[in-house]
Amino acid sequence: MTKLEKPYQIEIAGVGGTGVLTAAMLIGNSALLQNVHVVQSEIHGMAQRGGVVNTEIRMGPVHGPLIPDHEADVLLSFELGETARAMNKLKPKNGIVIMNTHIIVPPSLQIKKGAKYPSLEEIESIVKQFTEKVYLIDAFSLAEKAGDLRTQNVVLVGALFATPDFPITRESFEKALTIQFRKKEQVIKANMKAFELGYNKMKELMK
Amino acid sequence: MSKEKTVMLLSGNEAFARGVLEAGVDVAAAYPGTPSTEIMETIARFGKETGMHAEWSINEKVAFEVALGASWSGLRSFTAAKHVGLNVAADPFFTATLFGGMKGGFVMVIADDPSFHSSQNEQDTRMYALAAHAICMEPSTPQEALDMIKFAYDFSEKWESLVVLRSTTRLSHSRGPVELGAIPKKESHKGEFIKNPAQFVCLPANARRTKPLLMEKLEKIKEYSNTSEWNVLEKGDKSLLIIASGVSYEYVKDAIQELNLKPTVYKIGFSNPLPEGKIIELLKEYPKCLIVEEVEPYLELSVKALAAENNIQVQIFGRKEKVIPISNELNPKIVKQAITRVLNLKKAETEEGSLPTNAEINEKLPNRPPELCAGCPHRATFFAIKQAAKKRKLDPIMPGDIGCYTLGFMPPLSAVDTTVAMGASIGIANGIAQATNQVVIPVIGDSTFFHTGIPALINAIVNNAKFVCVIMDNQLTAMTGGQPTPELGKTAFGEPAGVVSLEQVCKGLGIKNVEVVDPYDLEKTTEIIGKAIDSGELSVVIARRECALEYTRQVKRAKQKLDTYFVDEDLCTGCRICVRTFACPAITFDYDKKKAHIDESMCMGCGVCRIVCPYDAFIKR
Repeated sequence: MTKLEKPYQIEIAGVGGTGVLTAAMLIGNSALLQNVHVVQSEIHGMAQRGGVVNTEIRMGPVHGPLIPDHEADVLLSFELGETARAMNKLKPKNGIVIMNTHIIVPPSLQIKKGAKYPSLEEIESIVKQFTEKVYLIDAFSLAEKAGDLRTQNVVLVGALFATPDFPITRESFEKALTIQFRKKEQVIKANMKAFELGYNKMKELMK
Repeated sequence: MSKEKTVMLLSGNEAFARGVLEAGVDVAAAYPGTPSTEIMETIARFGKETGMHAEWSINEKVAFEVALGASWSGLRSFTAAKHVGLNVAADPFFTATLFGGMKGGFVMVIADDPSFHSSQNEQDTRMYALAAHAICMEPSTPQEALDMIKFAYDFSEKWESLVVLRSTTRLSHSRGPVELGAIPKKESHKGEFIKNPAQFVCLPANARRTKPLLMEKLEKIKEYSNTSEWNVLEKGDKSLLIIASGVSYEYVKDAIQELNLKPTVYKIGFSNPLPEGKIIELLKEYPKCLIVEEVEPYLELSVKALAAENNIQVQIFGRKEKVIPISNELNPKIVKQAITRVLNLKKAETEEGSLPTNAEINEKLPNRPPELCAGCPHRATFFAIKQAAKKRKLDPIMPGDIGCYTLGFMPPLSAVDTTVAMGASIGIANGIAQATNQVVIPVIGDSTFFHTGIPALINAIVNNAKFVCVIMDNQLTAMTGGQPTPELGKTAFGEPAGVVSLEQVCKGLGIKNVEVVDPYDLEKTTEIIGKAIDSGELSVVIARRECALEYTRQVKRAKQKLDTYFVDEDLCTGCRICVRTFACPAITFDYDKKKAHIDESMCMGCGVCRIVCPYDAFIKR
């Protein structure tokens, strides 16, 4: 039994179809395997069709499923621009941002002639007003390396587990992964690899 | 030694379903609707081995009646719906609560959607319970969802009454640890309907006799409510009494923990009838009372009335005082602010003031509204309707309906002119056709057509309304995750079942112009819709093509490859017609190269872009 003295909270920001819900399930189940109290919220339905999808995970002495603004310890972002949109969830100054450099351009942007997606520098400048602890991960390339593009989410989960003071162990994650994808050996293998790549990348960035 | 407990991280909806299985329910029926869908989905996944009957019913009214019939036959029965689904079932609901006679327990979960996450309105099921004199309970965590369901079945049988459980999005779609109990083994899931016309036939004479009995029963249940284990008093200091229900109670707990305060909290889990005696007693002991609840001021109105009737000097704060916002869901921050205001506390110093606000950040980001998927056949059908109209220099009125295709509202299609309720596209088309000389093209999905579209189509026949009804038939209920429709011939358990054909229904009604087209054949679809418009008669065009998501899933499951497309940059002239008029999410435009580009990880190979492009620049890989 691991008892957390204070809440540990993770905001996941992404776009429908990028594996936000699966990542949240894996993190939540990892916590539960260590007997850490966990609650989390998710949004389904209409928003899933390419819309903004956010999931919040709260561990330790917490009650409701929503993270109050400016309270998240980590913002884990699955899409570049969505990082900026979720910044108000993060603890100012001390919060950690792990962001995917991959972008998903909304089709509605294409209709207007010449409309451009914000650059990495533009997004970074917004994010850095909140915290200095910003880590960029090219999850797309790492997932490619892991052998399955759908493992971008787990690359980022790997990076999350490498953050200092993260209360859940890698062993719990591996157990949760095996339970989640029972019998699908290929999927488990690719995800293990993706986790490892994300974990190592984050350790390297934090040096 | 105690036995090892099984604890799982379940969503509220999964916990409701588990409660249904642990209560040994015999018959469950529902129509899908966010945020309630996963309750029945989970029952459908795990219920078969219990021997129970589970079904996706044709609409919420039928689902309610299936459960009522089973309950009156002595079986434990269940139904679930989203808040607006109860509108469809409201007719039998009001009368069933009046007549009672639930021989087998009858429990209904209704999931409200504060903040309109996936709904057209924000209605409060507790108001319905009040109006229909129905017993209503509000769980606040997934664990309570499970525990309350099991309690509700015993309670329903004890009082022979329906019990309504009110959920909200943040309970239904939140996860928490849930301790599981055992699922009972039952010998039989068959009951017997014992005739009792005085109980089951709602003639006025029977209703007149029944109403006073119901009111008497409710008085007794009110006594129970005062001592109910679900209404929990957490004694704190004398500064403030907070009354809260559902997930709002959890936000209260978060807020007082953060503010480091110890007010008294009264958690209402049994919300109709309210524990009036207990509330009166409490109001006398506190100078101030804050009411925290979502959607309507259900508790607030009752608590204020009780204070006034009993001359209690207590300041009550809620929506009327603008301490709690009038719309949208609550969160811990809102509750924290409310408590701070009510107690006149000084606001803590924060550094948040200097940070950019959400609105300021959003200005710098592109909007990301939900979109029709890459390869969605609905996009092709909308495009064809637009093309057919354009060729005839028409601007048809297009009443839309509820489903994925509501997203046809978004530019550049901008092809939805009204959306009101399930099945309303055809009803409204009747009205506009009678009221104007405009061309009217209602658009409705297959599942929605079977749900409530058919009566309105019959109405058009018998009242000579002329329009072209386009049924977008993607062979399943897509928006809620792909539940079977009557065309599929599959039960909720995946077993074979009878089939109902859309075209046979429409032809059987006597409509002469019924055509079936494949929307991926854009030219043919445009031609057929055009002909239907030209005929000036009541016509039905069924645009049939399987949901692109479902197709992609099947191809991947069979470990086959999708026939994706790419852009031949020599042929692409950079005219942007594809992104400007068709807007498939897989197609982007590269302004540096001045060429279109296909993201082949998103493309599912429908090939419609090939026809949209005037220069044949999209090529099959």
